[in-house]
Amino acid sequence: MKDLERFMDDMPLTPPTDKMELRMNDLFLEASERREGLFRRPVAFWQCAVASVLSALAGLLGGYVLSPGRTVKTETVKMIYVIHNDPSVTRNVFDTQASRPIPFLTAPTEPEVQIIELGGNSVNTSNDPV
Amino acid sequence: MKTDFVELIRRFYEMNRQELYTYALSLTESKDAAEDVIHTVFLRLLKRGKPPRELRPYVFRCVRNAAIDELRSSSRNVNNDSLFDLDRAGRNNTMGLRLQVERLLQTLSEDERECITLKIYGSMTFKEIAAIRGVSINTAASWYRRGLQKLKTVFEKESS
Repeated sequence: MKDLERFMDDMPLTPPTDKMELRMNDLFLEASERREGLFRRPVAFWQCAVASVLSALAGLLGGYVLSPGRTVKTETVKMIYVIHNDPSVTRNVFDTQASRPIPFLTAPTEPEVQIIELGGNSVNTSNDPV
Repeated sequence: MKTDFVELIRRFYEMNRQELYTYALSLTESKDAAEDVIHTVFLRLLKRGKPPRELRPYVFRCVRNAAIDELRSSSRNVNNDSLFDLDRAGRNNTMGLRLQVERLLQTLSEDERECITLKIYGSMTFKEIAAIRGVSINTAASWYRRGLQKLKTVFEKESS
């Protein structure tokens, strides 16, 4: 059995033809050129510039789209109103049941009310009038 | 780098071209068809872009599948091209014996013949043959031994 195996192993085999070698060489050459071309393709300067600008714009737009809740923080103005320590005035200011407009308390600020006595001393302050 | 892949496949081809060609020729029995099969297999492999885990059995299996496709679809006549280089055999005065071996190989079953071709001319292990054919190692080994035994018996009978 081993002799037969050895005999068969020694038999010269039909080699691939030259035509096939040429075909295979062309195949490998084309494949390597195609792969190199993908990574080393020359790109014009203007194309790089346009791509950069478009990327920047896309980044900005993407940022706005992804974080819509972002608001510009503004400085709030604090207003201090000084009124006399007169019961009718204070009732008008602090009575939340009364339905009348008080322009200075509905202003878009953080109103603070200070009540002063005749002598000029402050007796009560409030940041939360309504 | 991606070109390394092409280089790897090229080196694999250069190291295995004779074995692959002999296997394709044994399946198609036509030089032209064998060349087309090898070309198709490597074209697909290069398009794949990444090497398979076990390259050698994978490529031989691809050759087998492509040869079967070629036989099914092609209207090409079977040329009965020889596996053996008869010009070189003639120079050694052993051409008669080689033709006899080739004729005897044709008397084996397809499985036995393929197994012997892969083992002797493809230098493959039974494990690799089993992977290519999708059978167990024992089955591949038994095809090989049975085929070789048949060859030996007929060979001895004809020689005596």
